[in-house]
Amino acid sequence: MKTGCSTYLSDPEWIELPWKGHTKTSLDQVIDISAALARLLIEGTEIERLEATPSRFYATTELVDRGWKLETKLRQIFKDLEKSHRGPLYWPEFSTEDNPADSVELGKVFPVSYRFAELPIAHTCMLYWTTVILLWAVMSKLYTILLSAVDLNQPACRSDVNSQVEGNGAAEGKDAQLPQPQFDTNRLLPLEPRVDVISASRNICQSLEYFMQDSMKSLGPQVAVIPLMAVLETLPAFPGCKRELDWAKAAFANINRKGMRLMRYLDGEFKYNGPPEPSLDLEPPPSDPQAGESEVRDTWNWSGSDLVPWE
Amino acid sequence: MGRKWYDLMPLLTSEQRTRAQSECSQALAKSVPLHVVFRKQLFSQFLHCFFPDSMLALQPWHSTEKTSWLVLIAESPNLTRALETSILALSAAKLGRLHEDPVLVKASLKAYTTGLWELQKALWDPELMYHDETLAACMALSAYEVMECPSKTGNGWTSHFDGSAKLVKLRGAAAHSSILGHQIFRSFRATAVSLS
Repeated sequence: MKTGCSTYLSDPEWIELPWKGHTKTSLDQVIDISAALARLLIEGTEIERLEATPSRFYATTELVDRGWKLETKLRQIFKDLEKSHRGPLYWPEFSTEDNPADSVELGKVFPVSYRFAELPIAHTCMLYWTTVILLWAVMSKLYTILLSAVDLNQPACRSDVNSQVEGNGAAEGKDAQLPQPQFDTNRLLPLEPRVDVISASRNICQSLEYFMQDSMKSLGPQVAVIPLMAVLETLPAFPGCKRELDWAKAAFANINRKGMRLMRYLDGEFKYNGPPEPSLDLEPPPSDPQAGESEVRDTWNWSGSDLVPWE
Repeated sequence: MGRKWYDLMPLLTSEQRTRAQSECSQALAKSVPLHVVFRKQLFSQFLHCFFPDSMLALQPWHSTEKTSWLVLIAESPNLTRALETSILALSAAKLGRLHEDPVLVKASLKAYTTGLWELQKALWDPELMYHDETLAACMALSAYEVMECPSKTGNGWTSHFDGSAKLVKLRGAAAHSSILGHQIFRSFRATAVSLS
């Protein structure tokens, strides 16, 4: 479902101007961080395509620095939310819903689920944890790019001394004017447990029971689906979390039954494997050219270049 | 002095009362189109099926920070044709599935295809292209795809969402500070950032 066409949303004008005359909620602030992280990932991917030169190294360290600053801001947003709310934002209760991943021998995967003070707070918490997962993914990528710029075979690159990164022969142009970067891998902040992606994933799973209650109507499952997809993308990287992954997959199939038919037809590992929905014996639509669905889509033209701004 | 016409009602005979009420209803029907009444009723039912009761109870109409764009639209007396048919499709689909009514679900698909046509027309109309309700129609059609997925692929939703992203960008950041525009933008942004 990745669309990749909304990267402009992290531009400063899009972070500020739409809120002229409005107050940003904690939810809006968390989304600001998500937008900045998405931009960071794109920039990192572009840098990765460059040759391994000192320029690339410096550019990557700058991105890593920006990433950690975003992490600090994200933590502060959550602390401010906790302070602004009287009482806990959420609390544990015994889980009452079954999941196929539960077993008699090992018990429930998540014996405890969360309840929230109100749905907007629950939504903010879910997006906060989703952003923690995104932060982990982005910083992991940046660390990989950064460490690939360090020639670890050089004796000078032992972790107990400051090391000098050897240029790869591109000692011309502006790179020749840059000082050789000094880099000690110990100076990199450890990603985990500072960015606790496993806890964030578990928190999302343990919140699902709240969102899937009948009283949450259709909005609950809609709020929960994207955070759950983030969990499904992340947990395969942790072999010790197989039970949690199986639990999340079963929960995803359950969401499909709550009126979000699109989820059944997504490609890849999110594919719906549940029972078919009872047929309502719908007749096929008439072959009226005006009502024909495929004919409308053929004329549906979303190419931005075709939309001419009117003066 | 200061007495209203209905204060005279007890003085009228039963037949006269019935006739007065009928004439009043006919005048009302002429001033409020039937399709507006129908759409408002259906959409109101949709809102009650979509939002938790606790959230609907908390939504004062004057509050902008917590009022969903769907609720703001419910209060509009007149909608553009694209938005009217789009939310009709959404409402009919939701209620049709809830009550297992194939007639309503089929009608929702017809309204959806009409909504697509009306949206295309709006996008080529200089008066409507950058109207908040045109963007709202895009969002409503996206929501219909999530709910119904009539083509049984993700392509329809992707088309709508990519189109919404391009329309938002063309409108410019400042266009999303209006009450309705802002809430539509917040809803769009929450999904767009998560999926980019």
